[in-house]
Amino acid sequence: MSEKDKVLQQISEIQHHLVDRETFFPYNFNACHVWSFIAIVLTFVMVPSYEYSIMFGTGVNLFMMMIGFIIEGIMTKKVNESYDIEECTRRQQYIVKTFMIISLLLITFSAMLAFYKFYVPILLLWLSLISLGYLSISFVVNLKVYEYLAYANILVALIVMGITMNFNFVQDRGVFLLFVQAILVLGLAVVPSWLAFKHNKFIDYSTEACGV
Amino acid sequence: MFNPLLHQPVRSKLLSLLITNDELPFKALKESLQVTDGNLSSHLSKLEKEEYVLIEKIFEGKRPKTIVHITPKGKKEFAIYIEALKKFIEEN
Repeated sequence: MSEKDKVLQQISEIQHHLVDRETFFPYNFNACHVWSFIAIVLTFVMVPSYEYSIMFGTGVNLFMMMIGFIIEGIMTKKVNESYDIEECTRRQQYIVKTFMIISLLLITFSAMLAFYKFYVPILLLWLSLISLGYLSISFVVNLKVYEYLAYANILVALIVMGITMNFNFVQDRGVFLLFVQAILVLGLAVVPSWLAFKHNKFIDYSTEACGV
Repeated sequence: MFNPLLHQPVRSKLLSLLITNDELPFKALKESLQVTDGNLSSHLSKLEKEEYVLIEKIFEGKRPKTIVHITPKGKKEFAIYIEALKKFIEEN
């Protein structure tokens, strides 16, 4: 390697490290895979459990969300400890609080809608409100892709809601419900998980590229 | 030709991180640079000796915490080093 190449490499490595404090947010993106799994389970279990009884459905929702928060808490705490930046802890708390409030709102509204057997609106409500959560955390973790995902999900939810109301599919238990469930799996599980996977891969690549 | 203290991969990256953040905890530097405690301490000692960085040890509750600050001299020397790198590229 010539001296010029060495200097160019040195400049490139310096540029890689000219990053501000924001990039030190140590969110454990593997938690997204856990949430994706919970999203898939809830998408398919929610309607039958509400049909069994509203109390049971609410219990299932609460249980699954609680499991998600506990696992995410454990995973992120482990990563946070290796840093030591108070700001990160504050931002992590903000994410958890936002999602907890959204989840409680969702569980309450879902129970009300389940009383009238409005299953399609329940699922679309979950899609749009969880996406609002993604929108807020996209600002916290500085990831534009999550912002785009949130906007796309909310837009899809509004369009499908329009179709639902127009064709009176609110209580549908057939193909249309399956179609909505497929949208939820895509928007709340497959795409977020894929984005987390891409993000983790990018971090590994950056670490290798700047490795000492 | 180049400042030997800065013309070293770990130390130049370390200064790059401090230039944009002014101060960072030891643990954050260690994670970001992917080096061991001993390796980072050794580089920091060299930079501290020349007054490029300032190492502060504080207590957060009962937990000790090491914060690394960049000094005005460190900022100035790093800027001179970057200029030297740029000049070298332009001339070669």
